[in-house]
Amino acid sequence: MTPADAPPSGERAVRRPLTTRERFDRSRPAGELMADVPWDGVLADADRMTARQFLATLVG
Amino acid sequence: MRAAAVAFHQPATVDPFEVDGLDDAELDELPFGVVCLDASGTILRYNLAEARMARLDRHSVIGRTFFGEVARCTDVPEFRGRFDAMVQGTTEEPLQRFDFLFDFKFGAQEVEVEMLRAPASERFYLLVHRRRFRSARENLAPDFPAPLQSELVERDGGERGVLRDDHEQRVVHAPYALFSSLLRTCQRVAPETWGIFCREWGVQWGRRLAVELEMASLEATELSLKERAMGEVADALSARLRDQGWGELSLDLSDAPTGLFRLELHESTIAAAARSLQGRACHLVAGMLSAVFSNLADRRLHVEELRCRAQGHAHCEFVVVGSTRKDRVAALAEEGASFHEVIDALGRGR
Repeated sequence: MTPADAPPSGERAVRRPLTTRERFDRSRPAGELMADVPWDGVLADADRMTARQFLATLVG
Repeated sequence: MRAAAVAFHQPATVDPFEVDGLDDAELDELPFGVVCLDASGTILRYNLAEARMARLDRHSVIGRTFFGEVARCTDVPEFRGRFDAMVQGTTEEPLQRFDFLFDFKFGAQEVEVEMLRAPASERFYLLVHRRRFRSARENLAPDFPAPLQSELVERDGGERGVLRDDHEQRVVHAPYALFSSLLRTCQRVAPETWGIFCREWGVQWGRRLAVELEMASLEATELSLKERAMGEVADALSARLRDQGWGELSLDLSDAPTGLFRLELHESTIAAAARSLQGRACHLVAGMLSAVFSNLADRRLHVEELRCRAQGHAHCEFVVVGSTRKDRVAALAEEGASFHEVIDALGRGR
């Protein structure tokens, strides 16, 4: 067993998720998310916007 | 007070050093694996995400040794050595972070591990973040990868009368009339509690389902579900509910610019089981969807059923709003308002 080897060539690169510490450090109050989400077509938004972005547009 | 505080707990922002203070239900809401060990390496706690990714039933692993029985690939200096140093106090670091490769018989997983000693206790925590999924490595010694669930229980004499899904989670096959029986029991014992009880039950279910969906997304795409397109997420949620027999869920996002959107559930199991109620019956589903969407949004959202098949409508209809609109929407639903009447009442436009 070794620590994680280098990924084989051709394998997808992965956006590095935050660690728990980073998530904690970056945590912020709800309601500050996505104040300026662009709206130019709901269906296009559903395909373009992430779930987090889309749901942040809900009022209330 | 405890239940209220937990109801919209947002575990993604938990401080690693506060993990020991979370109860088991809260650990199960975390979107990463958590394993708690004593100083000898015996597993004390094992959360849902870790069980899902290791494809092991926690009840089969608690009480076993992590390094010797459950994750033998970690019994190497790069991992076990760090743990022993932390136990013996020969390292000054209260938290160690390192990359590792977990070997399972069904595949390998690149992970980042956060290892820490719980404050003021002799418990040690491994927080395991999946980074990349790979095929199983070849030419390993047979006992090196983690054992399969079936191998673990075989040593205990097997499992008679236990059904498991593809990820070794225990499941039960039961007729949906079980819900009819539950409703009749509730109507007899405490009829006023049906809606409250089922909604909270649904929230609890939804928190676990959110972790389940997140783990499935990581495994399939290596992306967090909340970072995937809303359309894909809708498909994943609908597929899961359909596969489990809850009905056919569809999301109508066309009114989203007004700040809310609509869900339809066709062939709802709960509504079919609760026809005798002749009122809105799908509180369980509404609670579940509230928890799932709140998890995805990282803020509180509320799902309210407006129309129910149990009332004679063709299908069940729900509205999704921000939590500050919860009371207003609940009152409108109680009055029998339609979806567009809700939009009008809340005010069109953003």
